[in-house]
Amino acid sequence: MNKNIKYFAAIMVFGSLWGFSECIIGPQISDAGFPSGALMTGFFALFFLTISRLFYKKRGMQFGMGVVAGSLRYFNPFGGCHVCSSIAIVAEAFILEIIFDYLSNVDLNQLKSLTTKVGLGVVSAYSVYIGGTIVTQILTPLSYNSFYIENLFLAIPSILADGLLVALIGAAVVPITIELSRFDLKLADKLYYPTTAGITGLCWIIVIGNFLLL
Amino acid sequence: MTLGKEKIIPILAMVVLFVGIAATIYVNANENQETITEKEIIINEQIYSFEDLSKIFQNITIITDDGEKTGLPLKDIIVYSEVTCPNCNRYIFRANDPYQQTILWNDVKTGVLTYDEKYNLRVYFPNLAHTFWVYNLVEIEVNKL
Repeated sequence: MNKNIKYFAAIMVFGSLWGFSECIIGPQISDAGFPSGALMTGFFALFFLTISRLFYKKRGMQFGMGVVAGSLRYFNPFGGCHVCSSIAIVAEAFILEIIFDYLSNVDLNQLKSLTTKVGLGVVSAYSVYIGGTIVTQILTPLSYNSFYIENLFLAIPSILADGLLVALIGAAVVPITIELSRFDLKLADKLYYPTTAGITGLCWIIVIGNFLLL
Repeated sequence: MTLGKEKIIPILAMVVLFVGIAATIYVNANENQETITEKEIIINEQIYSFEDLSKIFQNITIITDDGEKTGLPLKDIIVYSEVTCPNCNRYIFRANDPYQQTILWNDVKTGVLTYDEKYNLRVYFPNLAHTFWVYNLVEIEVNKL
């Protein structure tokens, strides 16, 4: 199987799953009165970004997933500035890409120390959430021609405080994801493309269908 | 993993947790220090109670991307608060945590002031992103453009 096409299919399927969760599950969590931004980043974004890195060990893949998820997010009518949310998702993926790049000589599957795994979860979850939120807080007002730097500075303590919950979620999600990645979930070649294409297609159909129905 | 990276990740994690905890303490310490109650709001340096405003103005309903929102018309409230030239100002909507957003009259005049589902004072605007829908609202500051 051509490896580049295989990576591309993986980017599409993981990015679509992430985008699907942001578009369909995120608003449900928000409507239920829970902090959807923190929960979405802590559980879904971190899980999909980490598991894809663990499975494929391919540099640049997480950024590609962010582009796919961000594109899908653009079709979701929830949240006002769709472009801003889309770019924030790409920013989150980019930040985790940088963290993984820093650890490029590290096989994450082989991490033995629980402290390191938990630490990796805390740092990556917090950085991804803070980065994505700050990007949103800049881009959204900018897109309405209403960006004032003092508003951003005043929001920083709240953003840093909200990130604590995400960091604690990340402390559990990353070690669990590393353990899950040890299961041999490889698909046979003849099943790989139909499965990835099917899941990707289903995610896009549901999100776009949801957009058209609302 | 090289020894350096193995050591630095837990240290970075501790720094992150320290920053998060310190920020949480700071935010909580700075909340609710206003001299007004939860049902009051400062508009153009004057304190109003939501109940009093409700007796003066009739609710209107606006359509947002999150459904219908019913509340008091911000346009009338701003004029009532003795702002002489509404279009000549920018309006800072300040929460008690202390999040704030700055909005111009063209959007302010389309908004409503109401309670959200958690019984916090909140503003909604039909044409602005949710970032601008400030909740736990304590003040609308009026500044000349």
